[in-house]
Amino acid sequence: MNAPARLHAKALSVAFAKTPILKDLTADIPDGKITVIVGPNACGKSTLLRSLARLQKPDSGEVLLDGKSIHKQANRSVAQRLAILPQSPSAPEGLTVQDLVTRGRTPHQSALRQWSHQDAEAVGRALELTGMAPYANRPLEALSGGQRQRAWIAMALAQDTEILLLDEPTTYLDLPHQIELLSLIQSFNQQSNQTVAMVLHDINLAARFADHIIALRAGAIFTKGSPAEVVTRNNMEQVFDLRCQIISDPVHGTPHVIPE
Amino acid sequence: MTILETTSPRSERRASTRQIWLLTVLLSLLLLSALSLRFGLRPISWDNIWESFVAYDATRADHLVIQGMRLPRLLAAWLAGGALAGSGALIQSLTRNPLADPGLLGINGGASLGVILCIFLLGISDPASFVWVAMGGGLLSTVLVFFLGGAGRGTPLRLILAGAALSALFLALGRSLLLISQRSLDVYRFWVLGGLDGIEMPTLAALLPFFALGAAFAAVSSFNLNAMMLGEDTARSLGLRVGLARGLAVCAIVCLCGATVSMAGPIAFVGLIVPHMARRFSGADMRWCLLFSAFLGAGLMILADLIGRLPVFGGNMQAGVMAALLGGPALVWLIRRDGSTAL
Repeated sequence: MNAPARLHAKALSVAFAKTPILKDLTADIPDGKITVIVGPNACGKSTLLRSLARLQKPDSGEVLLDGKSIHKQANRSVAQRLAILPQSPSAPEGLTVQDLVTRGRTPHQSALRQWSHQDAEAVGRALELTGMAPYANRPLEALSGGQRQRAWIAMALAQDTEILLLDEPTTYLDLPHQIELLSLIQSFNQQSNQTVAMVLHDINLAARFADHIIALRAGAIFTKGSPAEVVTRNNMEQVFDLRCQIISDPVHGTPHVIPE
Repeated sequence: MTILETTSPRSERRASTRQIWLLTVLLSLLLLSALSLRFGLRPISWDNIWESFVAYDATRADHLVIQGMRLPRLLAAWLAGGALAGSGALIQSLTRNPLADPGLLGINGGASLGVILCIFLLGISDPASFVWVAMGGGLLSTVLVFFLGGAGRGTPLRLILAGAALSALFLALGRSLLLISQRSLDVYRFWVLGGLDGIEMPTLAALLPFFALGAAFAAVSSFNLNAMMLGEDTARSLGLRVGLARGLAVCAIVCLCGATVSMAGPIAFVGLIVPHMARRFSGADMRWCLLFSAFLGAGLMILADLIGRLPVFGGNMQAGVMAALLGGPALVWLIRRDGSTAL
């Protein structure tokens, strides 16, 4: 890691109603990799992700995107490089998948120039990659939870950014759908070298899909590195207060946590 | 590329049905407009209507009625209906609340209080002089609501609550003044029912810039609101400046509703129900919803005014009242026909 990463948090501090959430946190989101942020509830995972996506303004410190403070750049220009899917987003009734995915093109459009061939192509590609093309004209409320989540991911993909942030994308999904969604995200990352950073609750899924894990505890980075470096017995006990054994996943060879 | 071939015909088909519907609505609107010139307390022949446009003769009663009364009325109905329904669509989308009404921003409450104060304190009873008082009252109270509601940073809920609180306050203040002054009540009750009586061309011309400005703001806002309706975080993530977008939408609503209330009094209901009708044709795309709302709203006002003027109703039923009488059942019918889908 010689050149600085495109997305970088520098001495970030955030507090809600005087309760500190993030304390002087510095982190890189490695380019072209999948980074997963893990940690116990209320450790500041989502706040870190939202700060990285300029949805949360830090009290001190800054987030640098391409070397410049993200809050000092035009919002539209940031949106052309960085997309974030917030936690459990909601849509108005009657909105179809096609409508939703089309909205992903907003940063490439303006009130005066609204639709181009490029937009149509990006929307079609996003629908195809996520397997949502057959459902394009269905309203979101007529879809299953897994399909709906894929539709939102398709919107973020249509935005066509080099960096994609996802806040707990697997919430409310059953295990097969979690695996399906994360495999989908992994395939974008491998095909287009898109930088991905996401918050996940499940440490085993994090270990399986991440290239890089950031483990937070009480608003600070406890440790970071490859899954093998982070997911250790000692770290799990310190970060999650969880006594466990670590075995090697017999299928993927990644570390696997067995709670005691 | 295969995917484009499979999806685009479907979405194009949908877009073209929308266009056909829009054309149908527009044609009905033109037909209604023609009927509105022709009928009233007494019908005027097509020939005379045509002549009044191409060869105006101020000595002929028919020409006077068309050019001096029915045409300004018709234009006022277009503007009022379109503005109210369009801003209704904006506010429902802005607050993500299907029951929001443009009056919720305090425009009607402020305008009413302004008019009552004007009657009570200055003893003015000529409706023409209410225009600017109502406009001022409406503008002032909206500015107040917008800042009490947290300006660009507040939540939609906070905006609605601020609007509801201030509207109730202004209404109560106004009513307490009316209670102690019978004379004020007599003048006020005609204004408050909302109607298109006595609107003249100079008034329309003076208010036209507000309608035009409002329409321009609304057009830009409809693009912004398409992203805003996915929630604030998503909108920001899509590159929108949320505070600015919200302010712009409020400006559109103020211009449109402020001009309408000062022209025709507080007309309730049109702004609340027409967007629901429009959504049946437009789907969730705000740009189409705005267009359909504006045209359907204009249509409803013209129809309401036309029926209200028929001799059956004594020729003097206020358009605002009639619009609600017509629109309520129409909406109920639409909901029952669709059955499955909610509002």
